[in-house]
Amino acid sequence: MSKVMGLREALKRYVRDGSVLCLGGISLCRRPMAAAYEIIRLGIRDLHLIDIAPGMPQILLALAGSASVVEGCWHGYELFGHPYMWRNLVERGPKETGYRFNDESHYMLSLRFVAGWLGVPFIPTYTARGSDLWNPEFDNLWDLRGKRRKVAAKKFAVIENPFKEGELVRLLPAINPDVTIIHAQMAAPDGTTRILGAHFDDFVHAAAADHVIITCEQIVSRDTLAVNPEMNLIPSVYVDAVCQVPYGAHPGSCLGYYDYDPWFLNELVRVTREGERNPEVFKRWLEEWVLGVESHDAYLEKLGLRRLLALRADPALGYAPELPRRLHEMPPPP
Amino acid sequence: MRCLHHHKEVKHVNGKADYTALEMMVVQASRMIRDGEVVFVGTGLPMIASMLAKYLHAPNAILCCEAGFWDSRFLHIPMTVGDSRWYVGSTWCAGQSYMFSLLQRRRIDLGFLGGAQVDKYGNINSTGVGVQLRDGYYVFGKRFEGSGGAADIASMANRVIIMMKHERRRFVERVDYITSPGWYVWLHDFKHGRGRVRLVPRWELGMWGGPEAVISTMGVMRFDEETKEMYVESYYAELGITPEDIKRNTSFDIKVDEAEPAEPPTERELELLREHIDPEHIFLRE
Repeated sequence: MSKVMGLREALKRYVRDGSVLCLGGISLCRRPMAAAYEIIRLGIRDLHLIDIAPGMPQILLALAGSASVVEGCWHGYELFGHPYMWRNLVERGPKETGYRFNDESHYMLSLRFVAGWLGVPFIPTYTARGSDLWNPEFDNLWDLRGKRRKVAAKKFAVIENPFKEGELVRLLPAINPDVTIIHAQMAAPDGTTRILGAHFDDFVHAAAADHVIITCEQIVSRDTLAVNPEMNLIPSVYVDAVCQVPYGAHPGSCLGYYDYDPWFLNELVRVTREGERNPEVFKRWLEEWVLGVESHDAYLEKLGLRRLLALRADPALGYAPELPRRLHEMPPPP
Repeated sequence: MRCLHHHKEVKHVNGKADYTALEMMVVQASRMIRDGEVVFVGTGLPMIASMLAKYLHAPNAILCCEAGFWDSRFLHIPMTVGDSRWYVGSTWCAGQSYMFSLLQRRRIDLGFLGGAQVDKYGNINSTGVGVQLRDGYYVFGKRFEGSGGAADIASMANRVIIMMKHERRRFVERVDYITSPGWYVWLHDFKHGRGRVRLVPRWELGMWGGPEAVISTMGVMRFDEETKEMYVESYYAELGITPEDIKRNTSFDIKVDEAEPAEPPTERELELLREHIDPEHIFLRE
């Protein structure tokens, strides 16, 4: 059975106002950016975002007003710059902004996804002892607990290890997102998904979710992926929709296909930095690159062939070795 | 470990030295890496320091990162944690839950961390300063990127090295928020309920590891074996730094009695850094 459909159709079918949404990949790499842009265009609101390595798409959804609850561990652009505007949103506080960011760590979040994958209600861990991440006073979801769907009744619990007297163990609640969206290099119409390079826990992201949308560089046949099946990360059973979206991780990278776009990322950081003083600067950028663009195809047209070619990966290395990367003295974009 | 951006701005402090404070930090960090160690690095100075160690005294050190790349032999320097450049020469690649489980199984020998604040016990804050409860929610006067994997590394790596810019507002008596636990932490008391906070040594929490050194833009600090308080081991004399400078730029009372001038970089170390490891000058900008 073919699960191939357009990105807009897939999002309309599975993502709603208030959905619990996970976006795969890590930091600036293999993130479902085309899907994030489309969610903003569709005007979907009040999203509850959770994934193991948040960052670029979650910041964008926050700044565009699409997200209201985030369980995350980190937001930023690494070397490209600080998470401007987002930090102001957090500093102003949930009462004023309606936006809540609840801090966890990478491993706390990955364990919650592992529990979600396994279908067990919670998972014990030794991690982050002594950190204020375990301070129960620091919980920005306290008034949603027990009230909002899929917000755990408690941030965590501490019990005595039933198998070792006197040892305290912290328990984290499982997470099962409504929808996980993953950008992959290849998928078959039945949903079988192949990811090249590090998988960034996208199996766990997918297996924990109720529904999975795969956006991919290429749709290939089932028989193609049946050669070396050990290279396939996600079996068809987890997947609901397969959407062919070339350059769907831009401005992030996708191993074997293209590199990150340092010009675009510099610009995104610049408009958010200036946006802290003058929000119009960011609004204009959002209008120009997201809201005012009809579709991802139109976005790629706007970027232009020369830019896409400059980012194209060397087939042997998987990235663009000639890409200028001295961020403070970049040549003009091609 | 992703909070090292600010190091980019560090420049020559003194015209006499032909190297920068950034290069000095990298060299100091590199010398602390032992051959054969598994080193958990982020993108930035620790990665460069580990590369340098591999060229010199620690050829069998294994670099890994939270995105899941193992023992990479990258040809170009990665700029982001999941950078495709990490893939080249890696013997394994996985994802975050695999990498952090290695920490929980005590398989990571050394982790590097940075942050906005560090205190005398080596607690690090990379979440935000000026934390307060407002309308029941916690908010910050100034918010930073957040823990990422820092809290996991600080609590479960067998040893931790901290790299920080040395400023009075960063070296504080007590961090505003403990993202990453050091030797003594101010712990919320689960048994006694809300608001009860006590100072507890990490070993009482059943924790292993702990911060071994702080490498700053001015010198190298270690922690006293008895008190676990930070003291100055060496200062960058050739860059014009004195123990007094370190005292002045530290807002708690820091011991400098035993401080000695730091061993400067060798020509070989500088050549490797500038011509082989970061020839694009992405991290080691002039």
